[in-house]
Amino acid sequence: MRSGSREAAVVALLAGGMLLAGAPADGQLYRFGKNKVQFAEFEWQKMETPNFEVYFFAEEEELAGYAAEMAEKAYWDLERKFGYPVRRRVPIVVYSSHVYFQQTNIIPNLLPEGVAGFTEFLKGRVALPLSGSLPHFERVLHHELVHVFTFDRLRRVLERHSTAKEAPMPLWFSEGLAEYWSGEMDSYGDMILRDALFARRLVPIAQMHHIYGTYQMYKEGQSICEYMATTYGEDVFELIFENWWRAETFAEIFAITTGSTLDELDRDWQYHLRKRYLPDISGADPPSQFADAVTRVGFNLKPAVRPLPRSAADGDVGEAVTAAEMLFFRNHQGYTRIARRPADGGKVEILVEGERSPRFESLHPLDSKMAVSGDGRLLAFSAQHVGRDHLFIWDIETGTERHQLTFDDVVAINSPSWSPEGDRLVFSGADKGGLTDLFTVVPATGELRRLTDDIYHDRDPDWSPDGSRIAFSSDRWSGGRRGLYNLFVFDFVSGRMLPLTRGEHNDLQPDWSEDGTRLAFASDRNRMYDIYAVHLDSVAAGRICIERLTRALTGAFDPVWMPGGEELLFSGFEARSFQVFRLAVDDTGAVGEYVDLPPAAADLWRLEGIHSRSRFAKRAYKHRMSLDIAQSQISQDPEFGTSGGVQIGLSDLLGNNQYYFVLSHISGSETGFFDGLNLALTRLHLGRQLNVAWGVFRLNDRFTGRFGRFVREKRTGAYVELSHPFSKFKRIETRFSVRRSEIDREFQGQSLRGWLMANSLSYTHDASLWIPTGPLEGTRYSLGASQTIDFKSSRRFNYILFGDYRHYHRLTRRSSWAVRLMGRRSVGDVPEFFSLGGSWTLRGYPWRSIWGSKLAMLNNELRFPLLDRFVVGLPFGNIDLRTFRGALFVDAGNAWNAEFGAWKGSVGIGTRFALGGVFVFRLDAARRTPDFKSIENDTNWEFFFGWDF
Amino acid sequence: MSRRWTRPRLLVALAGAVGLGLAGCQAKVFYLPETGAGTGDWKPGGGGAAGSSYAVQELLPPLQLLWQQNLDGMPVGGVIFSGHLALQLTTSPTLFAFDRRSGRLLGKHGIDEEVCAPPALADHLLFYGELGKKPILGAYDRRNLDRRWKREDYHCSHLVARGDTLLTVSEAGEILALNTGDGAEFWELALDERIRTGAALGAGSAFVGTGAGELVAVRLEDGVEQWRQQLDAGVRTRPLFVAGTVYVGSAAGTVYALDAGTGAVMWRRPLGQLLTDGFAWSPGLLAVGSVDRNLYGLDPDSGELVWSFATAGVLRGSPAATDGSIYCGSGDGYVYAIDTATGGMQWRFEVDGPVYAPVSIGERMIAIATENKSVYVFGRP
Repeated sequence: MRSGSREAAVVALLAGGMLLAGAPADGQLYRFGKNKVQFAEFEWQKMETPNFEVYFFAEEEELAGYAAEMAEKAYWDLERKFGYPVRRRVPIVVYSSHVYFQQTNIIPNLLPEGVAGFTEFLKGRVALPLSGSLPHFERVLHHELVHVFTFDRLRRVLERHSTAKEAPMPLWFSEGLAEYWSGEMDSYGDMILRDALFARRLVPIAQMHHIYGTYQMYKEGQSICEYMATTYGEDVFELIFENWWRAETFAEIFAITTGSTLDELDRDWQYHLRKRYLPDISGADPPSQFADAVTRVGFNLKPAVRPLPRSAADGDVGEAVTAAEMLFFRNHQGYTRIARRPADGGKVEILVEGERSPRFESLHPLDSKMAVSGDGRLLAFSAQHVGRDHLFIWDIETGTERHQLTFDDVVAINSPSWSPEGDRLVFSGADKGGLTDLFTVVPATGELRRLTDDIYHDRDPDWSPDGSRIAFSSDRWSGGRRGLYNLFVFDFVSGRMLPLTRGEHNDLQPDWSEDGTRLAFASDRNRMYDIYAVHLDSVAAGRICIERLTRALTGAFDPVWMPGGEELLFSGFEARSFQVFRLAVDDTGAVGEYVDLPPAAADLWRLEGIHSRSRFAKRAYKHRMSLDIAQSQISQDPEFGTSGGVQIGLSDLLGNNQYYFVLSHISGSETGFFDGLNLALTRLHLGRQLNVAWGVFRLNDRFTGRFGRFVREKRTGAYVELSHPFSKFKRIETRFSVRRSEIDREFQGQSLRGWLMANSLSYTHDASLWIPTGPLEGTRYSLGASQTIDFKSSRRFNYILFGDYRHYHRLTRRSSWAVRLMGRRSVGDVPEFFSLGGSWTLRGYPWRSIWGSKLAMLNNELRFPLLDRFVVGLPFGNIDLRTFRGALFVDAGNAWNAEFGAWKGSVGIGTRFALGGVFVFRLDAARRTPDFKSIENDTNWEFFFGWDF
Repeated sequence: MSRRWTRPRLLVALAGAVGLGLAGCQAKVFYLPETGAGTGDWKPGGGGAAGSSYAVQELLPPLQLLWQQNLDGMPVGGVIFSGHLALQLTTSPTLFAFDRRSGRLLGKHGIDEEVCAPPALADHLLFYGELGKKPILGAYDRRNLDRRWKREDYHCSHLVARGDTLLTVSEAGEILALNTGDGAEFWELALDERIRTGAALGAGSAFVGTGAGELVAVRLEDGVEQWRQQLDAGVRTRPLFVAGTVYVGSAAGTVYALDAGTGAVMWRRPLGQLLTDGFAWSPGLLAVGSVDRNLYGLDPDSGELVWSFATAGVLRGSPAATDGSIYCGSGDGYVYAIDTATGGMQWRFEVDGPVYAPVSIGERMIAIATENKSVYVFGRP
């Protein structure tokens, strides 16, 4: 649930437009970056309701009807809370799966799995996926519509008072209010706040930027808004918005509205939180206090127990096998992996490397458990691969794949569980329409069977040891309409579905004990997520015994029984992290409590939907273009005179079709009006896996040219570019352009004018992991070739071969060793010339000071943290610089024409700091080493900007 | 402070000439009342710039559009009828003066700084505050807008004028009683709570609601607090005093009737959502709108819901009452006349945008201003 930043969107749009608009074929050989791949093509439709336009594709028509009804209901609520309507139809784009949602072109950003929806402000669009639960979908929709109302309200208040001075809204406030007005604080929120309090990690309002955009920020924001409503009245938000025109900071507006300062609010809110949560410690402890931590570093969760095969277990084969290995998701350096280690301690080994290759783009560590077969040999897990989830069956011993299953009608797969015989799996799967049900599959044949087929969210299935039943968690009861899950059992013998628990709480992640008499599960029935066990053999007189096995101050999830049933593994949340813990069940001192078994009769909820058969008829989607951004600028340069221009971006509502138009003029003394005119039009088609861009341009550019001095090139022509991403990480690109080129220099007596035809082909791989200053881990490279010919005179201008390989080897959590190896070669009548020198290439040498038609370069850089925070105190306020990092580097390279000459080298140190998530400032101090044996005394300082290579 | 008369001097002179013609003998007269009526507090005329009102005349629908004029900004409060004038303040901020019968623009006066609350009128003086670097409250001669006095201890305040007293109720919680003639302070009372609405005057008292949900009665003569009553949420609907009873609405959407003498709650009626800025009262009926798009008619004696009328937009501006009709503007872009007895619609008129400003009632006419920067005046010919 996040809101698209207007600034980020504008920057991205303009950057995208400028990159493509009329760029010469040889000007940019390749670009790095991960891909947003349109694996699925949809026939989009639109449904109009009184206040919304709902966009959907055919398979999700039912979902669109629900979304429309939910949106209208939310509108009704929010109109009252804000006191004013939104005076336009709000576009809502619905995706039936997060996998499809990640392919959206509405915003250019790659969407991580944690994003449950977003509101984009250029066109006021809301986009969100269904991730299983319709009530949760409704909450996210409500959340996003709070943003829509907020920004509409602010726009109108500012418009009303004819002022453009808009106070920036703190993200904690906008997201906190959206959370507060879309539902009550749930147990996850309580867990985050309780943990923040007890781990002394509660972030005060003034320092909320430390947790900018995190779940903790959302929950702290929600809690603050809740406190504000209690203290100042529910209408305080409406009043704050009403006063938005009266000051230029949120703090001032808050003070005008309430008479209090943000510091006072912060102090009182924190006191209120302590009063609310501190008493909890009298009856509960963090997991580390009552269980043994099996993992300690990074995030580790969703354990699965692998009973060691008898041949591998120590001791007599006649003894009960209690030795076990633990498999779990592990993320301690940015990528999620599947790890293994003996359950009683020992070395962690990585079994599956996730999130760094197309094969396992995501392992869904927060949503999906994995399962070990009864014989301990096979591991089943779900991973996202080429635009949908696949079910992988992995041989644990050999580390190889046994099966990879994908199903036409199942887009998302979660939480597989083996049958006791190991011949079948049950999993929770979402179809193309977004409905999540239970499925079984025979891995050997791929035979799929759907066990449930309805609107309810069936999750966390676990097959009983006798193979006759499946326990699962579901919202298929009346409380499910409020997003609450209880436990159910599907009986294969009778084909019936029976409720096992019932109550206004969540019961999740059931796990059968080896003997089938107990079912462990996680539940927030006491306002904290804890591990419980229901004794299935205790049923008497319609009652059943449930034991509370933990009293976690924060949260305990994902219980799995160890062999023998005396111990459990679980994921525990503590100090902002998940770790795997081991719990001796007998030591808990738990006393069972008998509760009523729920009646067997179905107690279901229904959902009203606005359907396209109603008066809100559906219509085919039309690619109607509308303005995203129009911006003009003017600049004055002492050398080149005045230049001015305008950039316009247009796109359709889904962002699949985009136009960029650039018009500028350079009024230099040596140019006439038409000479100085620059025009470029670019059209992008992004709705399919093959992205197409074409454009026409008429440009008269001045730039530091290929000869190391300013040149002017007039170019008139057209181009087409095709980019085919194979996955998030890999793509192939080709580009073809025709242009009339006139360069105001000669090369070796030859005129540089002609009709040039250029084409290029490149292959790019990028699986790098980034921090704000640049890549920290992974590999990326690009290889390719291009050629340019003067087709009128049949003269080959040049051809180019290029390669750029970069590897980032992680040394510690926040440091790495980066290597770049780059080579280029251009030959022909008019070869392309490449440059070296400067902070981005060969440091210690002036910017673009070394030129040649051939280039070779090697960079080695040690990247490490220097300061986490650096605050510059100024009279008008502090400048807070984040992510201050250091670099030690050794560079070697040269650019040459006929003779290589000698390697040029340098050594040095540098520092970088990231500002605002967009800019990275770099300061390098380098000394040359002409022979790689001695170092010159002169230090070359260079201040520049840009991410690390 | 400089004044900005943006109309050509010719028009001003012409208007002045009209004024002279009407006034007969005064030079430089511009905002001269047509008759003696309306030279006092505008509120008894029914409706007004802000807040609650009660019915004093019969104005049976259907009404006709008498005139419509464009404004240069959104309305701040409603139209003030004063003599032959209809005044409207906007967010630009500009004070417009129209001829109440013809709608002819007589002049507009640019205000230097932002205004945050509607003006008040008493006798020949017009009062409004400005929020600049040094916020001021000023009293201006309504005829030529010469400033008579100013005070610099101003916070965004709701103003009520009665006789020689100007009562300013600031959002910071200060109640200040000033002499309308020279701005001298009669008394001051700090409530230490935010105040979101103006005060009601009656029975020698001022009734002020706080953001903390208290209704406070203050003796108008000396500023002595008489009683306090805690409500269920902050006061957002301006109190209305009628015959010994104070009606007030809370941010929780609850309407209260309190004994003006003791503060005792006579009845309370939860309506559930934020209510309009003020009430309208007609014999046997108390009307109030809500952001839930409904106009509610309550029995003023018991609080029983007599009727409700659904519009298609939120109701923010105060309704106004005439004998037999309640007039209200809605976010749906209509002005409605509702039968006080049955709650049935008597008449409606589509205007050019949402109406969030209060309905003002003048002699044989009503006025509203829209969010589309227009002012409409309806009446019976």
